[in-house]
Amino acid sequence: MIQIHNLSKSFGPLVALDDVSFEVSKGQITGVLGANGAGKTTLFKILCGLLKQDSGTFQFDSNKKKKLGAIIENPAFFSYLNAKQNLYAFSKAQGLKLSQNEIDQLLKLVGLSNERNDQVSHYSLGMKQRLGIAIATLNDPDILILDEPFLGLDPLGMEELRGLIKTLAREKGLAILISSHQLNEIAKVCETLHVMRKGKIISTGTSYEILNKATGKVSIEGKGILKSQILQRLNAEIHAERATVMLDGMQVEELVDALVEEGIKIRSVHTETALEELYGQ
Amino acid sequence: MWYVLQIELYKLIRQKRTYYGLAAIFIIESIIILAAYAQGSEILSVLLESLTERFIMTGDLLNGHLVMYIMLNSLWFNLPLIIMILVSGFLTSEYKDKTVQATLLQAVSKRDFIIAKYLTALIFTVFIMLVLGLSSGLLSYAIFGTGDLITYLDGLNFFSSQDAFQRLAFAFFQGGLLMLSYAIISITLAVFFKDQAVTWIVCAFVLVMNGLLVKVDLGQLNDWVFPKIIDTWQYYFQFELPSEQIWHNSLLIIFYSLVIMFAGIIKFNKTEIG
Repeated sequence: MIQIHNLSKSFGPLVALDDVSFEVSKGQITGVLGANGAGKTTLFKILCGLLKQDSGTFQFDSNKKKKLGAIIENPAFFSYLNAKQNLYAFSKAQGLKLSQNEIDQLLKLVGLSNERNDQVSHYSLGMKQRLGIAIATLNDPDILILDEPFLGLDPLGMEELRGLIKTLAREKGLAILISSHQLNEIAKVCETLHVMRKGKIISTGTSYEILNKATGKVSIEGKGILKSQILQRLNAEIHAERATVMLDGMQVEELVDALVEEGIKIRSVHTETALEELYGQ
Repeated sequence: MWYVLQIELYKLIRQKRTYYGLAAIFIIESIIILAAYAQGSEILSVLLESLTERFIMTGDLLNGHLVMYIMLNSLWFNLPLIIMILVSGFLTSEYKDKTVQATLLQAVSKRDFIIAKYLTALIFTVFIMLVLGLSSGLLSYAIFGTGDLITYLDGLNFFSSQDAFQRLAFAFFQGGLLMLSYAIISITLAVFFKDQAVTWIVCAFVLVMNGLLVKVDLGQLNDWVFPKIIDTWQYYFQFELPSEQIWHNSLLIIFYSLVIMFAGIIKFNKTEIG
């Protein structure tokens, strides 16, 4: 659905994108992960036609009038209009004639009430993200691009948004491209992740692989943890029934299996991601 | 493009700032009429003291025509400033709120978007001029009635009531043409500067420079540069109407407006929005 070949872009001496290539298929949710300034937004702006690349190409396998819908940086609206009026304005501007019922359906799809008639400037960030997605999906595009959609959302808001994104990919078959610097959130929703640093893609894999790569410390609570040989070999810090250990290349499940074999009754396992390792900083 | 224009007009109607602008114009209009009502006769009698000793003046010289003429003088700075601030805001506020980007992320072309902005600016300016012309005309003639018009432009000029009405109407249209060109200039400035405050400062600078240069003798350029033709509406109050000069200046204003608009469209199409 999206094919990106060797995209590069510089702003003066600053290389924002350096030879970026990857593909996203129909119905697939793909993530672009990276610290601030890694080049994620520049990549998305180029795909949306807001910036022009210096070199490279990209193609969308879509014959729709509007090939992609997007939210770049933050969802933007006409703050003096309410949600329905915003949907009306953005749809009418592109020649769509949505009925009141269709607007209500769209609001329902993204989980917004069709009874609110106040200006969108009063909306919470989560509601704005949802409305932004409703506007992005106007005119039925095949591709959805969401730049940092989880930024500023509370845990419940993030969970709801993840559900909405998965629904759009599953039920509408959209190819979805998401950027974030929050690994745990993006990994929960994406099948494939591309890690960017200084405009380059430095790592690609499934969310599971990338998460494992980034897992640094593990905190384990369990009965009998003090007796564990493997934790002592790994120089774990052990206090009462809680141990904190650097995995040092070992997989979390390998450690858990080894502890179970040692007869330790595990109550909880928490992983901490080491993003600086993942981003190569 | 028709759909984008419809939505631009819809947004214009829904925004509070549109009504603040109209209120500002109405307040200026009211102040002029109130000042004329309170002090107009006194000032006029002082100014015309020597003349009334030698000429017989018919009717009240403080009449609706004179008030309308005073009103027309807001074309120098007050009205263009309000129009330029409001109109440039059509685009700069959307840059600030990132709704330019949001709109262009829909199936809307940059060309359609910016042309719709220019058309909205022109429609809005025509509306403002109509509101100003009709409301000030109704109030002025209702309160002060009609009579002969006396103006000072390279000497004193006297016009009969009927003649004065026609000249005022034409001057209003001529002023309207100038206001349309200011509306176009403001959108183009917004395209170039994007930032609201910077665009306002440049708009005010353009008006001040025009106000200064209109009084400066630029030699052979007098007939060709924009600041020297912004006073064309005043030509209607010269006793001998310089029709040829008025036509020349009107066509020149239209030419400048088109060039400035095309420059804005080209710049907007080439500018990266991200």
